[in-house]
Amino acid sequence: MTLRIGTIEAKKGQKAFGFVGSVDTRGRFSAHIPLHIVEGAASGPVLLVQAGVSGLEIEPAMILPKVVEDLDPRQISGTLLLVPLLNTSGFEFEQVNAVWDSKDLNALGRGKADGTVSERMIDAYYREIVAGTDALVDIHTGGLWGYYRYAGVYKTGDVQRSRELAVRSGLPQVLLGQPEDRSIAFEAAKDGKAVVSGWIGGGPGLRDFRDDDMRRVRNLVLNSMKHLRMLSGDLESDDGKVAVIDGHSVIGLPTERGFIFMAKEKRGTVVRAGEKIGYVRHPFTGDVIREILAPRNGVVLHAGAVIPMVPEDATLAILGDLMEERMLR
Amino acid sequence: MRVGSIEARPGTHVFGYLSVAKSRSGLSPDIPVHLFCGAKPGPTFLVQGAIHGDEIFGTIAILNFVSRLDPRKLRGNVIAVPVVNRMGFELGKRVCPIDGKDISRLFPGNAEGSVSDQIAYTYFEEVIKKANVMLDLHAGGLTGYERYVLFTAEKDPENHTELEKKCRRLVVAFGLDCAAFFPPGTFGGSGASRGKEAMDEAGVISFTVELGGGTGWFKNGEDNMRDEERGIWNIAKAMRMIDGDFEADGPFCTIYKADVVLWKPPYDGLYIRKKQFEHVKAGEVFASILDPYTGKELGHVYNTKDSTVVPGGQQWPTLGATSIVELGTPDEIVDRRTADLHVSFE
Repeated sequence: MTLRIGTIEAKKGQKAFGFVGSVDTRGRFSAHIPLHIVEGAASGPVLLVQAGVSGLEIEPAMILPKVVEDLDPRQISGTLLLVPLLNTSGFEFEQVNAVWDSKDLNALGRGKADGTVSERMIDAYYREIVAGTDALVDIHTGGLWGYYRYAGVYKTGDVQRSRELAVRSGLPQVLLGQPEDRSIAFEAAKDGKAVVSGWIGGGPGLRDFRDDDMRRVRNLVLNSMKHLRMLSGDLESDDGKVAVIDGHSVIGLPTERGFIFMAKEKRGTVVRAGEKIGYVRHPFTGDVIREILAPRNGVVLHAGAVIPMVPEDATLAILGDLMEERMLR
Repeated sequence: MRVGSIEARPGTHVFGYLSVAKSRSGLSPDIPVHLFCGAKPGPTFLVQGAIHGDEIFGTIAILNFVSRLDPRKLRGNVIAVPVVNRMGFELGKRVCPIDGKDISRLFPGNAEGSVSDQIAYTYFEEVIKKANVMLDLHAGGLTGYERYVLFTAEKDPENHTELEKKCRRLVVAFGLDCAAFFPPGTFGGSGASRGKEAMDEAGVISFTVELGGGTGWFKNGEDNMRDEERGIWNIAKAMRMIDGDFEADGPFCTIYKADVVLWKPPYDGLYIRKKQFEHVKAGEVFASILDPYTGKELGHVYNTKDSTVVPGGQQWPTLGATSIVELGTPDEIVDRRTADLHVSFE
């Protein structure tokens, strides 16, 4: 029995690598998506792991191919499909969006068969890959500006299955009620698949936490496989604790622009409504021109932009109510 | 004390904008200037940030410094410029986006040139030439992380001029445990050399601090800002403009002769490098470049001489278009407990 996706073929107990979703651009470059297949010896679920949908969320690609390399398909039940870096043109030109048409690949839904280059590529990807999976782990980072460490779950589709997968991801916080968007992951959630967005790392932590974050990415993939009974073994995490948080507030930029300083030491703590969680300084006079306050009582997620000069659409903080604290094992 | 139309009387602090140029649509990238005129006479100290618009960390230290500096207790003048490249700062770009030029490479500027040339000209004439010391704060932008003081190599290593001797003292006085210089021909283009010559001719001691950067911000951001502000105060103390003891990382400052510059290799992918302060032997791998999809090693960047990684360079996993790191060997280790770090100006 041979698994065939596009031009990539893997027999039972084998691995394969190739590109899918190929669309030719005006200059006859191939816009396509790199895909690893690990076809287990025994039958089981299909898990898709994807990373780098933004061209600036590239650090997981430093470890994901190594995770594949270390897996023995003879020990696996089911199929692991892994995309280490989906937005290859954004990566090439160091930008969030695809360069062919300036499209944000996180905002194209499931693509469009007669659309732009990116829309056609995502359409092919969704039909050929995503539609046939049981579970999707969508790995994000904070890009150049943010630093993150949580697993997000949409309140759409099979929420319970997604939530259990997130709890077992190995990440210290689970956000229930990740804001709805037009991402591939949200479409997959609507289709009833178990979907987790793993938010791990980002540029501002790269110098000091790279090795830890690469381990977290590895844990996320292997823990997901273990939870889905594709792989045997114990779950791995930082300290075994997981806080499940029902998100209620996503804080973006205030009306005043300047240097924004968020109180990162408040991550993981409980803040009260009206408590100061950040402030804006005038970039030339240094005056504090706006305080950023918690809109409601809540737990602060390990999330958000931390560099003082952030893009216009940045998330500064996410708050929610603590639902439960669990041990991983 | 006067800079452009900004004027401060003795014992006062004034904030204003220095008019420099106008773009085709009428944007005026006028430069924000804090002017402190001390109650007593003394030298003039210029501290500037964000001449590369994405290197914003020194800017914050300058803002903290000016919020605490009391002109009534100051001898001489302080010109503090939080952002030189205002358009680059606006768009998060190293260069001035209006004409794509690096303002730091244009001094002494050209009054008849492009917007950046005009900015450099006016800034040089109105600001830099009035200073005895110019402290230029840089950082690693969003993709790097740095922690050292950089200065220009002395023309004759065996016989330093008075200006060069003062510069070394100030470099150590800043307070970091690491400093470096590039031997002639190692690094820096003709623009940097021309600017340095113009400053020497004007009698301005100039040096650069490379401190902070996006990739180390989460853990080190506050510490970097504190140490950078501490360094600005130290320079004012070294110039005898304010009273107080020096504060530093520790008693020693190692000055590296940074004679190894490693450049971007002909292949690209994901970049994994040695850590700062690691000793790397000649011929040893400094960095590996991985295929971003398969993880296979595409190649390596090899070190060319036994040396230590100067704390700087690219940390982000893609490479820029220029050098990726500097390594060096100790030229001098200065013990701050016994060294005289003060400098005097006639």
